[in-house]
Amino acid sequence: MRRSGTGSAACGGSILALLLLTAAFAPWLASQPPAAQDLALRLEGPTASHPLGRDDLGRDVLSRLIWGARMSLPLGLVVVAISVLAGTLLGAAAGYAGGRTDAAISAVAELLLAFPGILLAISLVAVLGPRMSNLVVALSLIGWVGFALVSRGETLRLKRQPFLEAARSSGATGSRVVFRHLMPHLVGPVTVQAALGLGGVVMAEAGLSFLGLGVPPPSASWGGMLRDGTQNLLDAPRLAVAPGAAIFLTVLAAQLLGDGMRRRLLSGAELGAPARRFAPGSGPLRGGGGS
Amino acid sequence: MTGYLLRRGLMMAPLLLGAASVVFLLIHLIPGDPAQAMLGPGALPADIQALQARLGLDRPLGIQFLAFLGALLRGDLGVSIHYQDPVGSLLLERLPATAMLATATLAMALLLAVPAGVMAALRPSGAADRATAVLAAVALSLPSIWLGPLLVILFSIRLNWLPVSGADRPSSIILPAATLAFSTGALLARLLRTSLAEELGSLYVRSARARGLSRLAAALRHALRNACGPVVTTVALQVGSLLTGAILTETIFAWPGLGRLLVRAISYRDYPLVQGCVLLFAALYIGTQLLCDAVRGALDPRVAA
Repeated sequence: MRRSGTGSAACGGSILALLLLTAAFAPWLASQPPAAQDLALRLEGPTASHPLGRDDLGRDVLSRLIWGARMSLPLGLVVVAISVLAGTLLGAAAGYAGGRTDAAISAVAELLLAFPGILLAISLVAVLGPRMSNLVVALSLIGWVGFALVSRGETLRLKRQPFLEAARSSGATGSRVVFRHLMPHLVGPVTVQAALGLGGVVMAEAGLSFLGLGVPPPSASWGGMLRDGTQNLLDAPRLAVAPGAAIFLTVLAAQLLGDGMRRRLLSGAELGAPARRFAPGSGPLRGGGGS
Repeated sequence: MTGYLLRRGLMMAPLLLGAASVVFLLIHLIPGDPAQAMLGPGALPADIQALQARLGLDRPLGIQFLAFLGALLRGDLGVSIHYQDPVGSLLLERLPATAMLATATLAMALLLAVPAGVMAALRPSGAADRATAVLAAVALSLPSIWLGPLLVILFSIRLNWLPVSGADRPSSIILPAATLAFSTGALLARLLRTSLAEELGSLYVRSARARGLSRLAAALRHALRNACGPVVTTVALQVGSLLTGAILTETIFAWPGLGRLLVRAISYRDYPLVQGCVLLFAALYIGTQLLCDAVRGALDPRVAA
């Protein structure tokens, strides 16, 4: 029987892989450096050598799109990596230790959640100044919370399971129980969240760049290109359409990958993973019985 | 119900205090001297000192914080450096436009989400369900900074039906609201579908069906109300991304709301105004969650017990 979600995960995964390859080989794929201007040919329409035409400074749009992948994707991956690491550790620590540790970590998480969406990232970059490192800091600061919530919830659910009781009662220390016995069970849900989070970070970075809070020009970023493009909607709509399509494609691919993996995990659990026989009525991942 | 709301309200108070502290600290994260940063590189030392004194930056941090909180309680958010007006009145001036945009967005989103969610839930894995799933995935991946310009290209430039930007005509609100409504509607449709499909499997729906109600009637008259609980909670959380989405969308469409004010404040390095905007956004967000708790309590008395 075919597991549900495989197709969508594979589709999203391959699109992301292609985008990553584009980013990796940008210097060979792009026909021009991102900042190469030719003011005589500004806003030139699509030609054979410049399939997406030129922008308002005569720069090749396709080349800038390719270089832009090199900005958005690595930044997204770095932010997600930091968020996964910090969030999973803090979430697991909060869930496993409980008490004051949990209260402190949860309070910080709730405080950050009191700021809607990317507002905190916008304010941070606004005061710290638009630089790559500040973008990473700001986006990671709001990014880890989601992973902490997921891993805390999973940890709370798994904490009373027999296999963890067994590890504890055979004398394993707290950190050993967490790293050797608990963490492997968090990999699934955290990976799903990471794929979905990558889309969110790429979207957030594009939004910040759109507001002029991204990596400063002349570096090519999709959000910044989109912002410049909206100045010329009347004469050259393609300047806004092309970078937006790149952002959309990346976010959609990340979503497909995350959704597909989640459905696979769920259907895998329902197909009778061994854990189910020992703990009837609590399929992995279906936290709490609703109502 | 009153007791429940009071309890929820009390839980929000420390959050508001925390948010205020973060907003207070923002200005101290500015690298170098905040007053210098606000006035720009060509500022005279005397002006910088005057601004430092006006903002209280020359006092100890603890005193500054207490003064900030005290002023906040009196409703005093300081004076904007660029506009030279009290921040509070600038915010109040822009609040209605953003509230209107958010309301229009939510109405549009519900108009999309309720029919789609109900149709999808009636026949799980049916044609409507699949179509909704695909459309929702696409809509959730559409960045507002792309959807906005696309709608402008289509409806304002090609078809010439709607204004490109501004807020001079009643029809001006349609495009910005639609830009925001797409993703909100998609998320709500998805959630409504899941929670309604679950309710439709329960015994009270089966007994309603046994009394001869059609699937649709049973869904609308019996299950929908119960299915709304989780959806309302998500609306509360969704208002958050609506508010920040409004920052981008108001910028795209030159909509004269809080989001655009914040972007302006950032570009003028008008930090008191930035603080005011951020604080108001956070307060609105926290307040909406309280409001949604009230709606949940009204929908399902068990919640408020």
